[in-house]
Amino acid sequence: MKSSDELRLANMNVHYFRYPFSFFLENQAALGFESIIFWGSVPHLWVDQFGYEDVTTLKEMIKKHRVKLLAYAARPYNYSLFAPMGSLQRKHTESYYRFCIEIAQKLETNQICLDLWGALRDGDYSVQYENCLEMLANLCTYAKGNNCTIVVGNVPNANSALINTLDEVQRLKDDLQMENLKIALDVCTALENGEKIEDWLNIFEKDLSIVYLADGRHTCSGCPLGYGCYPISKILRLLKDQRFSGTVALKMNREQSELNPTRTDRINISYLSRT
Amino acid sequence: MIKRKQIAGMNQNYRQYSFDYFLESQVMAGYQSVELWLGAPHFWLDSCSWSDCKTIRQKTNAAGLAIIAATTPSGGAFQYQYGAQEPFHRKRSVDYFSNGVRFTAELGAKIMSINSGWGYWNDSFDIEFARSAEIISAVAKVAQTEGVMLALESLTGDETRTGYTIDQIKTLVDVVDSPSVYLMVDVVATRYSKEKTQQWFDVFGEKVIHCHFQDGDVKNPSAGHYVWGDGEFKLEEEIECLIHNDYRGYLTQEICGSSDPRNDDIRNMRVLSRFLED
Repeated sequence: MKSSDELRLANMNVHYFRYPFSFFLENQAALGFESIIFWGSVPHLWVDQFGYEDVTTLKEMIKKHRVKLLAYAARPYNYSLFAPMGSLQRKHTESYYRFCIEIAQKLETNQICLDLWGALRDGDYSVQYENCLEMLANLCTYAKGNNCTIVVGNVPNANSALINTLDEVQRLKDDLQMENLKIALDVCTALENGEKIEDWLNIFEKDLSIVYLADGRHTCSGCPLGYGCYPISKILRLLKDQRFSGTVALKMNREQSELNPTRTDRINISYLSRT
Repeated sequence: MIKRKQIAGMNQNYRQYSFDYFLESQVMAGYQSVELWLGAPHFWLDSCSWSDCKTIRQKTNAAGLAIIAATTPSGGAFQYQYGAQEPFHRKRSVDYFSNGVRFTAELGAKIMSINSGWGYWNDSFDIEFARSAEIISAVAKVAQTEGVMLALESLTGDETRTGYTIDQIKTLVDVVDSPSVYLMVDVVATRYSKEKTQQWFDVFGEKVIHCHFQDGDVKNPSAGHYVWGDGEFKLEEEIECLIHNDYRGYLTQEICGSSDPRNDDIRNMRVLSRFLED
């Protein structure tokens, strides 16, 4: 799908949670999406801290449907980079994400996206931040050895007490100083926080690798394009004007769209073709 | 009257807070019983291991709270579910839920909540149903050994095609045919399917041993799980139904999605207190 001329658009399988992965791929081919970001989650893929299922079939399916895999988005499940030192959750989190990096490689993509969920509201923020920093450094080092880039960004307040804002993401990047750490912008989260998309583009420039795009309103985010209160066409125009060279990924709210994901895809395509 | 100790709080709503904060909040709100949701960040449970139960029991009991039931998290934010579609996923799910039963037993709780799970939306009913029956049967065997009662709840029609009505749940119970499988009413799920709590007592009688009991919507059925008073359910009518059926089980307050769970538990207990005796 290249409706927005120069922008590289990718769809995601998040809202196909109720259907087999083959159904998602068949729809992408039929609807004209040329690229995807694979959301690594059941029922489409099993991965936990002990390992993962054989991905050969998955890889073959993606190739057969002639869609390009641009990144692997690791589902956070109950793992957290903020988990306390020495805890089981921490040990399993690092192991899980290492397996995700391996899977990304096997699927022949060198970008792996992590959601920084799980900082507690009543925990010590500086300790949790340091916990996150340390594990992210370890994962970046491991990914670098595998020629992979780690992509992290702002996360909704409902999912974490930290890394919700542009300032926090910038600080994390500055503190980490890892070449293979790139940035993702979640448009809904940024707009909920009253941030400007221009600021994200200007501050991170070429390091802004992925823009997660969806519509939203006060009561929900991840809505189909045009079904919320966000200035989506203005944002798309801005990304084009600024020659954004990363990926614009359509990340829908799973629960809102999972019963009829194809309908959501059609709404998005219709919106994009008008823009 | 319903006794105060029959009302149980739940930590699922406190996923952005520590377990200590949850316990403190339960005491502040006036709960005497809790149903523990066995997920991170409070606990760890997977297909191979689970958290140290001794510490959890000690902390909970020291706060003056009784652990009356447990929920092994499924679906949503977890890899595991009772209707897992793929063979590899099913094996891991059986191991995980079996460990959930063992975790529950070690915590000293008698009840573990379960549901039917779900299949692919384009699966046939029979295939989807058979997978759920297979997993629940395997978990029920472990429950029998451990002396844990599995309380099967219905889900909503948006979550499953095979476990959202009384008839479907009855068929599932009949097929599994285990002395460890009992029933629970989740008032949000049953209302979503336009069922009344009385219908569950009519069909299952004393096999109804547990409830997830919170407010929800009627005009536009939704995921609900609100603080009592924030939705549209008739609390007095629900309580009367329980008393009429001589229900002696627990009423877990499975409130979800709160930005301030402590305040919500306090507000919730304030509403319920009008119907409770100590």
